[in-house]
Parts: sequence; structure tokens; C-alpha cells
Amino acid sequence: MRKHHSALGGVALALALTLTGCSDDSTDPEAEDTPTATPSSSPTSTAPTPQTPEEKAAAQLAMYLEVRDLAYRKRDINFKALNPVATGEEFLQLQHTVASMMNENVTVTGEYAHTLDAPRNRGTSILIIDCEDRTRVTWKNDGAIRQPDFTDPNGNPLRNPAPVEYTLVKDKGAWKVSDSDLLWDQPC
Amino acid sequence: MLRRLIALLVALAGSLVIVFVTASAASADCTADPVTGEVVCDDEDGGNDGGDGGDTGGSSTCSTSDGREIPCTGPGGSVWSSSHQCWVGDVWDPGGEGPLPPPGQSNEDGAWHICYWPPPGSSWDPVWIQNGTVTIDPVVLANRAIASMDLDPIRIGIVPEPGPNRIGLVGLPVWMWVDSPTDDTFGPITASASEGPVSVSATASVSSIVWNMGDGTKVTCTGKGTPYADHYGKQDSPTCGHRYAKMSTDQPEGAYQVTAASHWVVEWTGGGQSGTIEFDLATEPLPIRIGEAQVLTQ
Repeated sequence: MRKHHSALGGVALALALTLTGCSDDSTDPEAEDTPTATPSSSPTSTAPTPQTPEEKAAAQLAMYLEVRDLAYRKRDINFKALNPVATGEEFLQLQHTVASMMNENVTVTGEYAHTLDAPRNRGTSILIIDCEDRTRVTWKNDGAIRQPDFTDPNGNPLRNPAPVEYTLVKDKGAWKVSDSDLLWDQPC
Repeated sequence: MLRRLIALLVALAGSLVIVFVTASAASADCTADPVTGEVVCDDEDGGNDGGDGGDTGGSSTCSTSDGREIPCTGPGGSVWSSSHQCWVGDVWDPGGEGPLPPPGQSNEDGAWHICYWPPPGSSWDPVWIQNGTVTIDPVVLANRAIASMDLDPIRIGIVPEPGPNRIGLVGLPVWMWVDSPTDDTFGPITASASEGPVSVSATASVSSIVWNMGDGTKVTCTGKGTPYADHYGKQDSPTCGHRYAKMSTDQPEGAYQVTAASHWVVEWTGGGQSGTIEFDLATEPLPIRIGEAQVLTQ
């Protein structure tokens, strides 16, 4: 996976860093202006304004991941925050995930760390791989820590970090996350 | 992702109204189940072997109040409700005593269900669904009906015949046909499935057979083919045939591996809808040895 050395990569990296340990469970993402927990020199408020479609898509994905992670932790969805950044299957899948967590008493604590790869523009869609690190995340079923937290289709513990490929499509003038694919058999 | 729009506008009694019918292709995305922790991947082709009772693919498309087309089936098998403008899923069970029934209702009359919103969403509230309301997509019932048919691939009829002492000749006609066709190998066959007030009837037939001759050639035949008889001599099959241009000696096990994939078309109706589901069932490879007359006589 290519690291963020390009200008675009810098935007993605800045956004990724802001997603690392910057959220407060008790605070909506839209209320967070200044990250405080990460020693990053590029917080969201000072990141370059996205200009290209790829930059805009990366920024949208970063926002989505923030909304998603907060939804996991709160087991609730802030639709006001979700609507601008997600659509399609991803929009539905997040609802299903949160509803399932509620019904089955599954909880998540801790912070995901996201590192976005360089976007790949496919014209009508943009693909971005997020290297998702669960080191600081704990999943519990009925209060008991789930070990391992996830298993791959072969029954082995899911690697960590694991790459997730997101698809973003243009919807009402904005790039929105529409689908995701956990690339469980590939390293970051 | 939606391939075909087939049918009709129907209003069902109760709170759920399903509108249009289509077939759809599944994606191959992998996701992590938040409850079990298992990574699960969608079946890419959405196909079915006809005998395992699995998903045969197909879905339906509903419409929102503003005219947008959306799948009738939502997350977790939830079903679109036109009255609620969301997909109605499992019973909402957040623990504890749960929310009280709405005024005038009791827990015996219905239950709160999860309501999945199409984008953009507006709230995260469960909806009250009265007992007896349709909560299953007729396509799901159509697939159950298909599974109950226990469909099988055809039995291959072919000349030259397979076998260690059998060999065909380069350039001579090969005849292919469906050997001893039955309802469950060629159709038509009808079955039904129901749940609650919804009943679906499905009729399945083979519309064509694609013969993979093992030499890179695929022959599509629309009927059962014509069984070979000795009096036909060296005539071509009038319905389904082939001629090999090369010997099979360079093939694995010295034989062409012939398969036949029957293309099933299932017309179904029920629940105020109708639609079509299509899939293929393929045979195991059958080895056919082909030689040349001059080589065989040496």
C-alpha cells in the first residue's frame, strides 16, 4: 500500500490522522472542531481544502469513517452526519450493523485507526483502500470480550490491520461512500 | 446492479406494498458480521445448483413515495414498507422491557420492528407492525419453490459414446441430446411455496443447453436434441451437433471433457407480483475420445 507522500496523500494522511483517537463518545462528530488526542501537526481544521475529485472523495471517506466509528460506539446513528457522506449499500449496512449490535447486545469501545491509501478514480466511482487498525478497539458480546474479535472465512483470526476497499459514487453533487469490501486475504 | 424491470404495480392489504419485480446480481463484497465476528462474503454469481435449497438469486424492486426504485429486500432480509417508507426488519429488541405498544395495541397484536431507511435517512425509530402483515418478499418464496423442485443437470446423450473402448473420428458428426429427460432435468415443473398470507407458484423449464465440447467450442441448442440411431449413418444431427477438428490425444486423459449446462428459466407469480429467475445447472465432465481413421488403422 502506498503511503501518503503526494499532495493528495497528504490530505488523506491528515484526515486519517484526525481519525486516530480523536473522537469522544459523548460528542457528535460535527461538534468536534479540533482534535486533541493525536500529536498530529495537520488537524482537520488546518488540512488543505480538497480540490480534486480524489481529494474530495478522500475527505468524504474520512468523514464517513468518523461517523461510522461513532455510530458503533454509541449504537446510534446520527443521520444528519451520515446523509452527506454515505449512500447505497454502505448506508444500509451501517444501519444493519448498529441494529444488530443493539439487538444482540454487542458493544464496541476504543478507537479505530484509519490510514487511507491513494484514491483510484474509475470515472463514475472512486476507490480508496483504508488500512484499518483495530489495536485499540474491543468488541464485546453480552459484556464479554470477543476473542478473536473477528475471524476470516477460513476461521482464522482476522489480520490486523486489515484493508477495506471503499467505493465512493457521486450523489447529488458530492462523493459518498456507497460500498465496502473487506479484503481479508490481503495485507495492508 | 439491477438488471431487468419486469412487472407491475400492486397494492397489498396491510402496511407493506411491493411494487416492481426484477432480477439482480449480487456483489462479491466481504463484510464482518458485528455479532458473530465472522467475515462473510457474498456469492458473486448468485447462482444455484438446484439441489441444495440455496438462494437462486433474483430480487424485486420497489418504489419510494418520490418514485425512486429501490430493492424490495433490504438489510438482513428486511422488506420494504411503502406505508413506512423503510425496510421493516427483525423485531426491535434493545433489551429490558422494550418500548410499549402504541395506544390501542398490545404485545399480542404486533411488535416493534427495526426500520432501515434508504438514503437519506431521517431518524432511528422502530415501527409497529401488526401481526399477519406481509413481511416476506415473494421472490424469497419463489426461490423456496425452486429449491423444492430439486432440479438436476441433464443426463448427457452423445455419440460417439464415452468409454475406454469407444472413440469418435475427427471430422465426423457428433450428436448431442438430453438422455431420458424428466421433469426435474428438463421441465416443465411447477411448485409453490407460501408463508402467512403470501403464496407463490413457480414453473421451471430448460430454455437452452450450452454444450462445452472441450475443444474450445460451445454449442448452444434450444431443444432436447435428437438421439442418434444407427440408420442416421454419417448424417449431421438435425438439432444439436458438432464436429471435432483435432484428435483428443493431447487432452488430459486423452479425451475431450464434454459438459452440458442447462439454462433454467423460472416464471413465478404470487403475492401480487410476477417475475423470472434464471440460472444454469451443469453436468460433470464426460470424456469423449476422438482419433483419426488413418491413425486407428495403422
